[in-house]
Amino acid sequence: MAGNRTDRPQPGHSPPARRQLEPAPGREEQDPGPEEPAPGPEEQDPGPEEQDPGPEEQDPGPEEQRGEHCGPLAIARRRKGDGRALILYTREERRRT
Amino acid sequence: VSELRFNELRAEQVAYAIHRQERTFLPAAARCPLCPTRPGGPETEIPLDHFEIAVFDNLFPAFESPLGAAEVVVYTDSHEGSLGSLPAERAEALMWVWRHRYRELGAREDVHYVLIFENRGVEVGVTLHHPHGQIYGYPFLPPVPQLELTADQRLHGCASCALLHEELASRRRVIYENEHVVAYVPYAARWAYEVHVVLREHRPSLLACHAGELELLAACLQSIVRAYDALFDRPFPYVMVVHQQPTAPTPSELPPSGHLHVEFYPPLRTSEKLKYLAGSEQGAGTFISDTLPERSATALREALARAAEPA
Repeated sequence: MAGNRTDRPQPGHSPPARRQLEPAPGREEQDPGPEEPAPGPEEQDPGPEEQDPGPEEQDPGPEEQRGEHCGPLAIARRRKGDGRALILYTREERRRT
Repeated sequence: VSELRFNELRAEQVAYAIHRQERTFLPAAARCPLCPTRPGGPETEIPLDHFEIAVFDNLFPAFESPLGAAEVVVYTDSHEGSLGSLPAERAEALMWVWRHRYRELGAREDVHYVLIFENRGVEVGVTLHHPHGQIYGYPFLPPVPQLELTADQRLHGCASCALLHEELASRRRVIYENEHVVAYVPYAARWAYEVHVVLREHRPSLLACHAGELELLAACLQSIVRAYDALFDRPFPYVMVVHQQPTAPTPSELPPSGHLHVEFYPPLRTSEKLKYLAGSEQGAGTFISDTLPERSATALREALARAAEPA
């Protein structure tokens, strides 16, 4: 039969591997523009959870994982009862108040 | 069971996700699965009494690990509203969420292309009215982004940059612009009120944008949605898609390019009439439009002005 065919993944598969997503070789990618500050340090140097999902990613629990950021947002990761991921994004200044 | 089959005549993958037949279909507001979980109420997808922006794995995924991803992005814990009516700060936050999801999903080996999109209105098949969008992580490079890379190759550079340059030179179809972003009805629009929102600078993806660009991208998107709603004085259905650089190596014959832009495909051609994909569109792949893009741009500029008037 022509073409390829894939079956639905079976339960119990480990999370897929991650690769480091490099900026494109586009010209402005290397020089995002002088008029604005560069993204926060967590964007330039993703924390260890970006490189490696960490043990909680492999063995999800209901507890929130705190301390991760994206720009002005704090990130909290949870797992739903059926194991699906739930990620909550909250403005930092709001969380502190 | 999800399955990919390759359609030889169209040279395209078709995804079969038959479990999606059972997905929640236009529930009453009290049973909306995207609302916060209320005390005494049914547990929703977000088991909290309030939240700002939430992302979760789609319960009825078209793609899922280890062969892609399907996520739901809930813009607000309020059941009412739209992308256009969100507070500006929330819309800006949404751009950061999109950026984060692009980076995280794009870093996965099984995701070759990250498609961020929103379907609005039953006319385009919405099954939940709560303000939300979706993200698909494709385990292959789909045809449309592949065509965009082919356009870059054909034009010997970034096609989006070239088209933006032409639109800014002509200005006949430009409907909105700010310091970092331009919105226009494209010269060869397929849909009557199709709009493309393009970063002025060449940014392959959200990852290349600085904070000011994300803020003004959000402002532009909100302005377009408000203009749409003002055009016929009714909630305006659309499909909105964020186009970005593929996240996996592209075929060797194509340049590793891509230019972040957002395309709106609204199905309405008048306040009451829908554009259908019929014989020519489906059988020949050629759109027949009843509306000139220049006239649509004029109408949208006027709608934009009306939407900006104080209530």
